[in-house]
Amino acid sequence: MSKTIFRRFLLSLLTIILICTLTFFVMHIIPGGPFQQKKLSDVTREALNERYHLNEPLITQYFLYLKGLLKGDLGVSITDGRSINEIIRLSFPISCKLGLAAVSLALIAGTVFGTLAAYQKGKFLDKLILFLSTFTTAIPSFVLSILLLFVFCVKLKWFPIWSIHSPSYVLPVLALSMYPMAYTTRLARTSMLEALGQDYIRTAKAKGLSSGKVLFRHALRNSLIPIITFAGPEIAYIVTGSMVVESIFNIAGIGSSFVTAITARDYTMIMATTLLLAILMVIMNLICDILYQVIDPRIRYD
Amino acid sequence: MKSEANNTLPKKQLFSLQQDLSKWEKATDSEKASREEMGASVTLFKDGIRKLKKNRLAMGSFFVLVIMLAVILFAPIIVPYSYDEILTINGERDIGAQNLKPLTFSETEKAYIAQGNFRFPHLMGTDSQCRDYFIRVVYGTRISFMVGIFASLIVLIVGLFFGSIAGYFGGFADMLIMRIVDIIYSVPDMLIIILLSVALNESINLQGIPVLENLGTNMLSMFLVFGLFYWVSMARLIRGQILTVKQNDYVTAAYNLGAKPGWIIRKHILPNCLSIIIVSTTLEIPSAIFTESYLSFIGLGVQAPMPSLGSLANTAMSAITTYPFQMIFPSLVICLIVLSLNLLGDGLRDAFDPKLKR
Amino acid sequence: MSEPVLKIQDLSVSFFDRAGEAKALSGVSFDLEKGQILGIVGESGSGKSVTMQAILQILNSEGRITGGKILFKGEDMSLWSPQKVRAFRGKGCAMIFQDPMTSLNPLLTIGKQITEAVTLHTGKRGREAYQRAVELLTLVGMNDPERRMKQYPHELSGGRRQRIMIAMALASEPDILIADEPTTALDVTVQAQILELILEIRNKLGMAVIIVSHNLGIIAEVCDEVLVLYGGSVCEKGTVQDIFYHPRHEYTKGLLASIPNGQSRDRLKPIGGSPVNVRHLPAGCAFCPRCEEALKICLTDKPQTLEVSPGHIATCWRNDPEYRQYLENMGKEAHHD
Repeated sequence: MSKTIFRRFLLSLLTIILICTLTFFVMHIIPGGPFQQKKLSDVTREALNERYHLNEPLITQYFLYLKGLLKGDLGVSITDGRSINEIIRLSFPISCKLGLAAVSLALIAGTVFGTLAAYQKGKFLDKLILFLSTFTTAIPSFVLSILLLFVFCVKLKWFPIWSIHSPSYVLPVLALSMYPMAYTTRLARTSMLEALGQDYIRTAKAKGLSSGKVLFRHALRNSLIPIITFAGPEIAYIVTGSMVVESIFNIAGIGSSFVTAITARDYTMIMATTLLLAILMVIMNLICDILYQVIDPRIRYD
Repeated sequence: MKSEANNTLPKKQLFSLQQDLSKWEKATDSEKASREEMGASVTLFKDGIRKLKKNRLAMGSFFVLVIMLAVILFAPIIVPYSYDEILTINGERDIGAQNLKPLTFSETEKAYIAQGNFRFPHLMGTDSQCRDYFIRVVYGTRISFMVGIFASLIVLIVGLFFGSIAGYFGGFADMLIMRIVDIIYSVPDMLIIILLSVALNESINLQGIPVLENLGTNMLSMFLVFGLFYWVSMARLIRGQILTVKQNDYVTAAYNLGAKPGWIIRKHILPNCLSIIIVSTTLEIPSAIFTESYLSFIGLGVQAPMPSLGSLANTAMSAITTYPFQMIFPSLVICLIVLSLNLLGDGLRDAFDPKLKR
Repeated sequence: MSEPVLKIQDLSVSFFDRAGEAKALSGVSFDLEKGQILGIVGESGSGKSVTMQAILQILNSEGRITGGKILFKGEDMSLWSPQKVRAFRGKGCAMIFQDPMTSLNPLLTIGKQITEAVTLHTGKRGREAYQRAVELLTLVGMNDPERRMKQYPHELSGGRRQRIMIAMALASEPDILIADEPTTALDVTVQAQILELILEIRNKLGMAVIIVSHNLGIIAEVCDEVLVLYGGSVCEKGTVQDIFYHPRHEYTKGLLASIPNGQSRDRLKPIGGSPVNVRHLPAGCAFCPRCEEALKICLTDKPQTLEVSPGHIATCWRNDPEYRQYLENMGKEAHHD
């Protein structure tokens, strides 16, 4: 068990280093360095060049950059000069709340719907759930967000527009979790159907267990395995999706600051946020992998 | 044979009871065969088509897609406006034709029609810059389709290449490719697209390169990322499929009979992978269309004035309360395309490859 | 003779799906006495497993009992409440399955799966249930039972897993034990051990056993009575002696001719053709298209079930007295010529 996890861990570390390197060199494709095309005074530019050792050879810069990263210093935003660490400290908790709520909702509701559908296979409820989930996976997240905002905030006024003082997370969480929820539902349905068709379910029934026990003790556990493997990509989806949802609902999270940074071509900010989110995603993937191996004894002992 | 002797013997007897007794005669082989109902044997392909035709959702989606393709092919020929053309009447700019509702005309246009002239209706109204919205949506759909198909082709080619090398040759090549696949799997692709778009925007000049010149660097980086990162799941699929096929005895037999690798791949392995390839390519298109619309939304989509469904929706968002139609049309088209492709892909999968269920 | 533990009367089961009806069983009858071992033989698709699933009422959603009765100790099971049916599963009739590799839940320990059955049927909990589970493991001849309790199915060999399945089935001391192809997935040496275990347990606990198999060797070795199924109907039923030494149905004869006996060096004789498609059962005898001795009447009329000797029944036109008579006459005619 520890060997596989160790291998996974090494792989994740390798990926993070790869991302750091990629980010660094991609940003240096831009001719003349990140600060050349900005309307900065010579003094500022010189100071920035000094600050980032832009006058040093590329390879030295690379190692200095890695050193800075290890210390946890992400630099300053070139549009407003604020420390990026500070921006992230303020916006990250908001995004975290939003993301965690969306992931939980998607996983839990998706599993429940999928299991229900599988249990009622071929009946009305199954068809309804299947139809709704198929339909939902065809709606882009921004269309859904706008629709929710337009109908429930603007027209019906059921929910207030988000502000830092009175944050209302209901609609953003809903908008963010819809797609992964629909996906999880479909996944849970197929994997539950597969689990229900297994021989050990027949054994459990032949034992005389009630259908509830068969479902929850024997089938559900097995059908959860594919859902856990999907949790990794789901987190990636939530991270990228949060950029759109946060911008539309005007939430001061890390996603919307990322989009702002892209529009403003704020390179240091783009670089820092990409790195942060990428590392976050890699770590989450690693956690899912470990979780998956804890749940399935077959992998644990192989 | 014994049975023939038995068969012919009683016929010599001309008893009145013969009718009754004949039931105890032995049945002939052809009589037995006629009793046995056999399912007509059909090829895998025909069977798949038959199943697909029975799947009403998939067939419906197929027709929706065909209609949509027909519209985006022929509409630019029929509609007298162009996607970046600001509406004019008799060579003069029609200032009133701004943000028109679907199927309405501006005051100038009404006057023009009243003079007995023909003016093609604005099926979806006009946008804030006095351009016909229908033709913009048509071009947006064209772009989205093109991006989707092109991106999934890239994925298919790269994935097929690495997947078949890894699957067929195995050993070190397989190990190396699969390690790379493992790493790429954990790289957050969307972030890399964003990063590349931002960087390439500043550093590459696409002037003079046909098609790409109009699409812009953002699309180039999207294709790049698709080619660099998205092929991994396709490669894994194909590798797995090849490994399964390779284990079949008929492939071993062909190999033992001295067949060349190329022949084995073409005759045995590819036909068995075909269904999986078609299905996953079909399902790759909507995902690419989604990615494009997403990128357009965060401002990294196709280059203006070329419209894409995502950028149209993005532009319309600022005026959603006043001109909701401009938002609804492109969004609806995206949903329809993605839904139909997904349903068609699912139908294809069920029809041709019942094993491949996700 | 006391009342049979299980009495199946004219049982019919069909599966309905989009393609139509598949008559998996059409009118199967047999009795099972206490302490008896009944073997059920037939090819794949002959209705062996469906019979067992119908008894336990664990047919999948497309399957339905379309006719006949199942009587357990004289009670008609179709009148039972779902609760009673559930109590019957395990308690009245336990089942072990063909493939021990897939029949155990891979995510639960052996201990959990056995104690679950113990708790369900005996009400024992905690320590008591654990003790009982260990006892059961010892009963089925597992060494080091305490350690096995903590292991997962994939850590055990096929033979061991089948023992676990048997232990689980015995948790409730059932009246009937159904073994659906209990040895098919196992090595030959392990097969013998498992069969011996089943016999041993029958002797110890005195329950009735049904062994479903397509392996005639196994049936001959352990069974008292044999039932031969083809295309969802009974071809022949009798004691092991009857079936193996005096078969009265062409299908049984074919089956016997197709197994190697280790002595004669003659070629094995396979049964030609392929098993009948239960979606399109022929009008006459189901076996007729493959039967070398088929008569014209076999094409059109279903054969009657006849008792050819006490306790030995067969469903074949060639046992019909009228046909016997006809043959005799033919013999005379031949002599005259």
